[in-house]
Amino acid sequence: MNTLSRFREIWSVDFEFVSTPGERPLPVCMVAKEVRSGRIFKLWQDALLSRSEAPFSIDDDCLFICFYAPAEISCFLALGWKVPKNVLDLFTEYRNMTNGLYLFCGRGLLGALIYFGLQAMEAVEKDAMRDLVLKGGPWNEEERTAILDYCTSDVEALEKLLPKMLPDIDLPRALLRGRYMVAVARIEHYGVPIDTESLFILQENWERIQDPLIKTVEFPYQTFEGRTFKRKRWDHFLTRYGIPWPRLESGELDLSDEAFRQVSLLYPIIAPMREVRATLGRLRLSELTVGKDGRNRAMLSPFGATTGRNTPSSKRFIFGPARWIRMLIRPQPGFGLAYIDYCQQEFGIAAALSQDSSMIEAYKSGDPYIRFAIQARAAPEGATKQTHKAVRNLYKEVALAVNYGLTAYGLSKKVGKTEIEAAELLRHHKEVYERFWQWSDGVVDYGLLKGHLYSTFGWNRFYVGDVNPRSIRNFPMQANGAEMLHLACIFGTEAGIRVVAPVHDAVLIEFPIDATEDAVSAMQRAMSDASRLVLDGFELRTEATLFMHPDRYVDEAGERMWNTIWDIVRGLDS
Amino acid sequence: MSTIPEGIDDGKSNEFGIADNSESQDQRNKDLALIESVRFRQDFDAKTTSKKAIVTVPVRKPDKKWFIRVHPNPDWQVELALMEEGRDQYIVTPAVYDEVADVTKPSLVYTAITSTGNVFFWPVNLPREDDLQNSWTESAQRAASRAKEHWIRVSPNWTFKSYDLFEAQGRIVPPVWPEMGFAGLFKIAFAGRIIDNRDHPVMKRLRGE
Repeated sequence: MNTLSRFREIWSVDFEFVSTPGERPLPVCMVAKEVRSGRIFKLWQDALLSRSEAPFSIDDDCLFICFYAPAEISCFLALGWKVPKNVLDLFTEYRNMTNGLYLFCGRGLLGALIYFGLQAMEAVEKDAMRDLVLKGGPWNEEERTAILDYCTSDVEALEKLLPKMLPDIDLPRALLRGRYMVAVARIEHYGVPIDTESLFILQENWERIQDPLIKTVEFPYQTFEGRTFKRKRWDHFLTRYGIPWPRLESGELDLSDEAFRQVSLLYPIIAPMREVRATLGRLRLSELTVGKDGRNRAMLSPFGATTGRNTPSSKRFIFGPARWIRMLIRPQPGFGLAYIDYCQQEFGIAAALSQDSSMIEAYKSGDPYIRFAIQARAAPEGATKQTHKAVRNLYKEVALAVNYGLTAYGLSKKVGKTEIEAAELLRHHKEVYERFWQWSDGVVDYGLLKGHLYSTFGWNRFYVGDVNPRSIRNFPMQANGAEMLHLACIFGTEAGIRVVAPVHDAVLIEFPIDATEDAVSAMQRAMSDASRLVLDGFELRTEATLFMHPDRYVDEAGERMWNTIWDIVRGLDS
Repeated sequence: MSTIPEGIDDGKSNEFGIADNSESQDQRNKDLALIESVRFRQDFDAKTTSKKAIVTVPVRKPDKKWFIRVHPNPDWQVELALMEEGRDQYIVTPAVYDEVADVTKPSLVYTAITSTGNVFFWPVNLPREDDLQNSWTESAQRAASRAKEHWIRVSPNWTFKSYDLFEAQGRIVPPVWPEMGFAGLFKIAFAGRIIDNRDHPVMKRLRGE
């Protein structure tokens, strides 16, 4: 425990709470135990609600230990308590110690206890207690005692887990991850403002919308039979329009959303069909979790991906389903929203980490993809996105594809060129960005030889068994992209900015209209700071798009579908 | 369960307080410096690297689909008497040259590299005294000279009995020559392929023994 000697007190904490989809948690009880002295607080709901702050110290010289911090911190926030300064989340650290390894007992607390050879409560018993909490009360005396005992057992489990894990915990970076978990709790606490009136209309009419929707967008595809998408008809459409399409190894058309996404970049005619398929295939409007306060809240599942990125539910989170759904986002009266994203984040990360001067020059030019085309002599000096759109799109695909270690074959399928042409494009990249390739090959060598890679702030990735070199090659871009957004969210939320959603390489923030400039520039500064920290001084550009009440959030890729659907809705009863 | 008890944040409060005074700026700088101090470098290529080991150096004409460069330094080329045996090229030393002169070709052997980084030796026949005008040889020599400064591709033209030369347009990176140098490449290319006495198996075969 020497690592923790600087902390005056170490509090192991667990809450039990009722969680209703879309709502903030309703704390039921809390147990907090000081690890060294054994002092313990066991507070039931009424006692919690009567307090304006935590009953223990949360200052800079104290450590707060828990398992999956957003749960505990969200209770702090719901109670209106100040949040702890130093959070050590054993969930995140367990995840970081085992990321990439097969875990036979999962990522939860029980799994962690078993992994470290500790005795754990039976899963069935845990489920029963959880159900008892979730029923939402009222609880009789016996049930209260049982719930408090259960909560205490989790706190004691953390106490046992801590010394087992501590030797492998990299504390400074673990505390940084803890700060991100606090930021996540804040983001989930705020939630994304939704135009609930429109959502209600869409939910009520969804069944009646689908057939007219197919009819509306069916020309020129002629691909549906009823509500069924017909592969053969799609093949005919592609042939008719001369559009190359990725195929599976079996020779069948690849009908994944990713295939639609890729082809639609080069052939915009595909985009509406992609939206329709996403709309009809995955969309369950009722699964979008919106609270009574009209805000979408869904677990962001931080560190869910092996790269350290969030993995929020694609059904419950507003940024998950089809793009047009995002247009349900609407600031409340007196408020605005800003979608602020990193410009060409992956390209910038690759340039900065590899220190490839040509790549850095391309990033700094403002449009790295057209610059790449110029550097490869595929476009003349002075070419722009407007004058050489097709070439730019092609070179953009190449630039993104190489991060994934795509082969000439893979690239040919992606961009609809022959394998020889694709090989030439890859050769251009290797020639123009020679230093990047040297670095990237070094990443693969390191990952294969050591069976391990790590990000700038210590997010681990272990490689065992059958390793895919392509995933190794891509790890630094993805994991450091995740680190960047984590830091941005930490800085933003800690500076008092209401970050309501992280979205891959972007954030959505909310602000009172009269504070627009302050909020947007503060968030952009937070994002710049984050990029400089991750990229050793190299700054990535950010771009902000504003949406002020009464306007709604506009998603370019989904706007057409949104308008189509509302045309249908308006025509339903006329 | 659906009603929010008293004391619970109802979500209507505003906690906007975007800090930007000098004190918080100072704190912020300290925080940034602290985070910066725990940053791991990502120079994986400097920590562990692998290098392509050259284990074969073919002695052959360039394929007509290859773009190649020839090393411009005369120290990276050598005049040799070569004998083709099966798929291999053998060096014939002066000790046995006279005996097999009729099946041996005096050649100028260039060190060449393809656009994909593969090194090979390109033997270009030297004109014999009795062979005053050989268009194949002359055009190959011209191509090799040109390849010292430009990426080129050579392809046989059977009508004119010479090599056509195609120069790459837009190629931008210079060749990266192997660190091991000419001597190292030479050893790999001709290991076990030097005929320096009459008892060499190739000599015996030519004598019908």
